[in-house]
Amino acid sequence: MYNKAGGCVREGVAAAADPGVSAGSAEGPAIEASGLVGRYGSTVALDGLDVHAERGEVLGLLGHNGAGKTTLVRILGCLLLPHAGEARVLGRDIRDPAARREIRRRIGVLPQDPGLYDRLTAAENLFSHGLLYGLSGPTLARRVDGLLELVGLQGVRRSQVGTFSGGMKKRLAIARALVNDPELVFLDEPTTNLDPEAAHAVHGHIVALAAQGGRTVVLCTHNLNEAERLCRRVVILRQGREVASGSPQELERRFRGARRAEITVRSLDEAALKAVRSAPGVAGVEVAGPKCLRLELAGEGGLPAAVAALVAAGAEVTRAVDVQPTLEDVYLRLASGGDAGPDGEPWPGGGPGSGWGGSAGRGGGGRR
Amino acid sequence: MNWRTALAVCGRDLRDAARNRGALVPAVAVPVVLAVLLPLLIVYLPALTRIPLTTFNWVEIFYRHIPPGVRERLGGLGPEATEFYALAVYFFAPLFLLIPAAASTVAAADSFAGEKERRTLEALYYTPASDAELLWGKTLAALVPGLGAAWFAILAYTGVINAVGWTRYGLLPLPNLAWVLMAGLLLPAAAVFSVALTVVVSAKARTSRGAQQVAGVVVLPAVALLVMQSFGVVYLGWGLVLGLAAVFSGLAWLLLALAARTFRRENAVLYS
Ligand SMILES: Nc1ncnc2c1ncn2[C@@H]1O[C@H](COP(=O)(O)OP(=O)(O)O)[C@@H](O)[C@H]1O
Ligand SMILES: [Mg+2]
Repeated sequence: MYNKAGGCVREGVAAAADPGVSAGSAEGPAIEASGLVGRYGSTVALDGLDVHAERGEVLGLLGHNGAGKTTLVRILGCLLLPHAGEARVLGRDIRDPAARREIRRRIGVLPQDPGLYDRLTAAENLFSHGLLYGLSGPTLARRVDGLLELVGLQGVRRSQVGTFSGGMKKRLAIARALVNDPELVFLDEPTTNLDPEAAHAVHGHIVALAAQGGRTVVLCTHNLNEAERLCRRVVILRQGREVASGSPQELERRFRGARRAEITVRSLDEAALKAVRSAPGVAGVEVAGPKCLRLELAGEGGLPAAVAALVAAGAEVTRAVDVQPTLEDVYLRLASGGDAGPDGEPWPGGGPGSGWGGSAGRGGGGRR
Repeated sequence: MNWRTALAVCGRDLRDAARNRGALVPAVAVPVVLAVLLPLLIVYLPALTRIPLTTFNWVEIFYRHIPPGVRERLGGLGPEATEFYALAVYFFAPLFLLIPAAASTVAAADSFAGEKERRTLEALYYTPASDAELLWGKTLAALVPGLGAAWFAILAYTGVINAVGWTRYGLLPLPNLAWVLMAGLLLPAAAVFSVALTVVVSAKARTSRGAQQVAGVVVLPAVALLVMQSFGVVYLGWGLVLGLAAVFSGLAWLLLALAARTFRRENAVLYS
């Protein structure tokens, strides 16, 4: 089932069979967690979270800064113990001390801070990391070679990492997370603070490593495009709780809220405005500009009725479009802590971050 | 506890430290100053300035407390040679106990806290290396500069003292039994103790500097020995060296056993 063939890492990595890695890779889902609670002092970072990831899937963890993504990775990666709740990672109980070591052996983590040794070279960083997994000699050397090739850093393998750009460091840290050929990889914000070009390169690597059969990837991000493009399923977190989960398409459908439309006219007058407000199927009208109207529709025939009403009132309609909800709309509403109930939501306002921060509105209708 | 993993942790720390001037400078400078410059200065200063050493109060006090047995053995020598011998073989001896603490402090304080500051600790904690392997690997890595510097210093010092002793008084004072025991037993024991203590502090500390400040206390026993000896309270013969070696070995073992039992990455401070 753990099919390494066809993956990009294959050349460098598949040559070595990891003792203990393939054993038991068929037992149950990759991640099965319920009621996870994590605190730093009095700060509650995770507040009773359930997470589930099937083997081979790419799971996205979406949420603003402070939502609890990194804390979840630290708990599932067996770095911190949860204050409450249960979890099995790769079929092993994270509370069992022997299992914790075994889990660490079989996972790979790209921490939010890449945390590379600046005074060591790219190759030394990977090699010294591999030694800690019990790899050594030519096996490890070949694997390091293959990974440097994969992330395009073969040419600078002998350069000290302190001289690298942010994008190069992220790529090297991704390679490091793969040095033990893990069954489950956590990538914590792999493209944050990268310029678009570097982010694009990193996306390529994630696609490549996720394409390898059987490898499960958990991707923490607040980049919607990334999640939409790479993840089969996303979990939206807010203040340590899940506010929604499902495939990006499912979430768009489920949380689409009221349907919306935009109409542009050549000139807008009171009569036209009055006409469109009373058109059947139109629930609300917002004047978005001197020539632009935004409508909230109540039913299927709302948009044609609105156009008909405007034309009848003498207005010249130049453009009329249905506005499709995107994952971004869903995300902004849910992650920012607005009313998260499906449907019946005012136009999603503000940019990313609006409503987040000081508000203590934990819970407020967010959990379904 | 797998020694290969501990050695891998140690090897990486050493490689990293070898490229870090902040860790290298004390490991080289401390032995040079303590073992070569200081004795030369004290031996040649009186000759240059024509002021006898005994006018310095602390040396005088120390000299008066040389046990009668030692004095008798040195009976055939003139007062200047006796003074040289006493200074070279006894007075400076406790300084060498300072070297591991001084030369390893930077590396030991950096062991965990430095990785916190440079944010590399989290990736290390995600590896399957066990807590004990991390602790031992880092302790070993920090021991290398301290013990290396101390042994290098003793060799250099032996050379300097014998050269001066031979040319001026026809004496080859070193090594004697106490020095061999010191280099072979007491120094390693004291070094393991002081380094392990500093590494444990480093695992709890948020910054390397903070760990250094707390760890500064490990030089106190050596300073105490120096002071006590100069007031004639103790005398660093082979018996005392053996006894101290036993005490420090016990302390080091206790500390490491306790640390291995209590150090858990799950409870460790991750970041400054
Ligand atoms: N090491 C830490 N010490 C104290 N509080 C922390 C620490 N790490 C995270 N937190 C707090 O825990 C909460 C969740 O943080 P985190 O898991 O890092 O979220 P995310 O990764 O989604 O940004 C935040 O309120 C954050 O301030
Ligand atoms: Mg984070």
